[in-house]
Amino acid sequence: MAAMHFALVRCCQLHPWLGGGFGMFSTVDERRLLAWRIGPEGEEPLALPYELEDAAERAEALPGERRLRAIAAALAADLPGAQAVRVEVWETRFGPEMEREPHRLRAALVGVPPAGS
Amino acid sequence: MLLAPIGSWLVRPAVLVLSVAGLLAAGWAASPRFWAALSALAALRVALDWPMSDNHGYLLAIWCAALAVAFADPRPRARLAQHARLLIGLAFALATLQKVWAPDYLDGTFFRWAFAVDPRFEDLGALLGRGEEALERTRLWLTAPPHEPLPPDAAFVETPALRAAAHGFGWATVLLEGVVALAFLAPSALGPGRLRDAALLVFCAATYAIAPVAGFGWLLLAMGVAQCESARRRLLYLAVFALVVIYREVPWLALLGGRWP
Repeated sequence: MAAMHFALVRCCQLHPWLGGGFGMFSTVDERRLLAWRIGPEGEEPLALPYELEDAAERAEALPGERRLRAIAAALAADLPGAQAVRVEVWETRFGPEMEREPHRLRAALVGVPPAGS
Repeated sequence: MLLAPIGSWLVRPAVLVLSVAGLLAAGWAASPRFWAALSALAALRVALDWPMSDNHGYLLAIWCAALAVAFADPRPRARLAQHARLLIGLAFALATLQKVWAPDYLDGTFFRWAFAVDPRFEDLGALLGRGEEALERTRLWLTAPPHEPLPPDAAFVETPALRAAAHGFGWATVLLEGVVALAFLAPSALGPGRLRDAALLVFCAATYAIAPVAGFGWLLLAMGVAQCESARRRLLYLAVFALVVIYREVPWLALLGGRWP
């Protein structure tokens, strides 16, 4: 179990607090899933609907490509006029003076199906 | 499992029914099948929650499996004590290593962040001089979405006492967890092995006063009492178990700081 935890942390960015490795309270826990609508006019942030909150939490904990694509596809299903949806998981770390150091862990891009298809 | 029921609607009713049956039905609590069933339910809970389950969810499933194996053994008490020592030792060794390896633990960053963001440390923060407005500004700084400009009020505000406490808590926790790991993994005859009960009791009495994760505390104490050889020390385990209940129910840090909830 511990071996699986460390392997998943290393290969797949599993949150160090989770997965049975007893890493809780060992590192800052500041991850966030962001979604973007991409259209001819540019990009704009998308608010996550309530029904995707649980999936978003799981994607923040273990940001696998499939999880992110599933969330992007769910968002893309109801976005008339958009070309694509991008979903990203970000992690913020903090420097010695608690300065913010956000970085992107993973992203997935899903095209929006044309209207009527 | 009755005081801190686990799982969603799918698992929880079965766990509660089995737990009550284990208390009431003669012989069930010493039945390998009973503990195997509880272990399966606890493991199912972890699988259904994947990857969100707390670490004590895994430990609970393994501990129930250890109870099942022990009760199938001709010498259940000795086998159970052996399992408890190994599990506590390994869990604390992992917890210690994770903290030592983490890039932001020993330098105090983790607790500087946690004191502001985790509501369980709110009372401690107030006691060490960070007022509500300063806490709000600090939370804005720490939790603002990475793609948005920071709100104008956002700032990391802390007192010297909080900064010192962040370092102190970090080192004290990692040292205490290391001592528990060493005591439980060392042979009984060696010096550290004789410190087992004292180390675990001090850890539970101190840690859960500040971070009241009662379910984890009770599980550790149940495992601790299973390996304890002294009747007097078993009473101490019971006392600390009750203390963890008090920590959970009474916001003593808020009261100490003159903040009536």
